[in-house]
Amino acid sequence: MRPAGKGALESLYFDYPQFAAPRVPELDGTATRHPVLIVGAGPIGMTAALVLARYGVRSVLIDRKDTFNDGSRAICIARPSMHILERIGAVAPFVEKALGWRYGRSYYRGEQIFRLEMPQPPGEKYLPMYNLQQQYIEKFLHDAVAANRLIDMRWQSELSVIERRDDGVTARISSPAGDYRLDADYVLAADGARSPVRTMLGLRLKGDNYEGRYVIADIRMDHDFPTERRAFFEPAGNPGGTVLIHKQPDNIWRVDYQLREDESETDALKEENLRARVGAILADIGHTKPWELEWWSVYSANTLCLDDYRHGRVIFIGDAAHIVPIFGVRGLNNGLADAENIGWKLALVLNGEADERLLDSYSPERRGATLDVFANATRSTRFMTPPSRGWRLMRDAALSLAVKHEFTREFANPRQMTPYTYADSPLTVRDPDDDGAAASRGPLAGAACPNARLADGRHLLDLAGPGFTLLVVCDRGPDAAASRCFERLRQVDPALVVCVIGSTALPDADRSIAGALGAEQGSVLLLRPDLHIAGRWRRLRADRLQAALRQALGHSA
Amino acid sequence: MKLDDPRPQPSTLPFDELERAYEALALALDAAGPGRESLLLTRLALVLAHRGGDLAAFEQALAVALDGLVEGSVDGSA
Ligand SMILES: Cc1cc2nc3c(=O)[nH]c(=O)nc-3n(C[C@H](O)[C@H](O)[C@H](O)COP(=O)(O)OP(=O)(O)OC[C@H]3O[C@@H](n4cnc5c(N)ncnc54)[C@H](O)[C@@H]3O)c2cc1C
Repeated sequence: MRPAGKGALESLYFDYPQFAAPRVPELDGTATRHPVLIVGAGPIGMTAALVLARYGVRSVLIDRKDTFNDGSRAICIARPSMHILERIGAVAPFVEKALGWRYGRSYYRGEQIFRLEMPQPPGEKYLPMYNLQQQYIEKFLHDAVAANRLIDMRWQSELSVIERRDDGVTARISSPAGDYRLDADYVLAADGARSPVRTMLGLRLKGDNYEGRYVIADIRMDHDFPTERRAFFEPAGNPGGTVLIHKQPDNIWRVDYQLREDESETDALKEENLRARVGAILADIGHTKPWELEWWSVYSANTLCLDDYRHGRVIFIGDAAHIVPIFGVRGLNNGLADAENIGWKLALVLNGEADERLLDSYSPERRGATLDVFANATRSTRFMTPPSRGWRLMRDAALSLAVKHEFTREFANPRQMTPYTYADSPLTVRDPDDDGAAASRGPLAGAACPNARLADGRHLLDLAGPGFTLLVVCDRGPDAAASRCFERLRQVDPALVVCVIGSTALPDADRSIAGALGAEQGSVLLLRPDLHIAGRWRRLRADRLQAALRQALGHSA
Repeated sequence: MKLDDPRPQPSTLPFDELERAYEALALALDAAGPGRESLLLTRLALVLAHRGGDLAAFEQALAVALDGLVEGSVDGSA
């Protein structure tokens, strides 16, 4: 919602573009079959299109709207998402515009009880979190989409009918330029929380709804405080409820406040009531200067997802597949990981480099990640909006003890997003020779690969290829047997990139790279295109590595 | 008596177990209901005092719990 007298897209700081419906070949009777149709040009659909394009795969990307999402929705981009944006060539404007951060504070009745400090290992390239309004996220992605000739972006184009077959999908698209039929090999449904594709397929999200309601308001003010997450429990400005404050670019601040059970949503959303409450919250944090209202909305937490993200040739990504609570900032970040996961798999299948069975791993991997998000988010949601008197008493006990005692402070930790480990994935190799579990220092098979700073200032993950990457720790450089092994692997993945850590090309004098990987002399790690570890071994064994690579490409053993 | 004894406490719970205790107690409070939750908590404290076998430790824990006791927001006063 916007203040009285303002249009739906009349923002204090963002100019909404207006995109026309294109004249498409289908309307002139030229029907081509497209490899991929992506329904929904929100952040997740656009990212999926860019991931596919990275592998040379064309897509048609449709959206029924004529511009970006209204209002600022998601604002926190986590480190793994920055890596995804980097790999699709879109990260530069994000780095320039977004506000990076790693600290936070929680207060109880005005007293600080918890200091959030997100880890920043020395080898990492990006900060743990960046704040940026969703409009900018969509704009920057769209700039990359518009510049990419492999993506056929069609605004004001609504999917109205979908028909699935074993060998493809037929869709009916309605646009102001006319209605037409579109044939595709695969459909990625990125059509958001209310996904019409989901409804057309007769599917339903399953899970829980939480009672607690939050008002989300964006305001503009000149307010001097670093970019940190601030959480206020029982503040004077919002008695009986919690308040969250985040800083965004352009002097925009996000104020989230919890409504008490006895408050009516309709009253709370009235502009004068909202202004009074935000004013009281700002007075409480010492802001007495003027401020302007940009946009507001109401929100309650859900943990909902589909039983299966893939239905033949229709694959669900982003909010269409799952809805997660905002506490812990996973909605957007979880969806970006979906887009990358299905993107590289589908591209390799369409390019004939992987078996179609590779697609079977998408749902277990990404649904597993969502269930993990639910487990964490359920805990933080129970803390942020206690669902019953018992939970509320427990929370108040923990918070009031935390004022003087360390032992309950950890309950106030927001448990921000950590990347999920694909430990049980059909693509992950558990080898008896696996060194990860034994060493129990480095990342396990299935985990996201940590980064490390190189002697020349670049980072280890900058060297990874678009396909699979082999990291070998070897001071002496590869011998003849090792070179033969690399050749065998290239027969399976011609794009394989091999990095020999400790070689003259990639020196590791202080062993910081090997250390970050928890790897010893001779250790080998196989990275997937999304830079998760497909498997790790104590030494180079051509037969095992080749089997692992085939497994990670969906081939039978 | 010092409330936050800086010496390492020999047998405190690791956080993940404390969290499980938190969850179990939340469920027990809801099961007891508002009319009986005080009795539940008092009984729990007595059981823990008995099983802990250390009167001084119990008295210290009691002092920690009493110190800074604020008006409970659950009862709608705040
Ligand atoms: C008020 C609010 C606050 C939020 N805050 C946060 C936050 O702080 N952190 C966080 O991580 N996440 C947050 N989220 C969630 C985040 O905004 C979503 O996770 C994210 O937008 C999901 O992106 P998406 O691309 O999957 O879906 P969407 O952004 O919803 O995009 C779906 C697109 O599909 C299009 N579409 C739908 N049906 C059709 C059709 N039939 N034909 C063609 N196009 C169609 C729509 O027009 C839309 O553009 C918030 C969401 C809301 C609503």
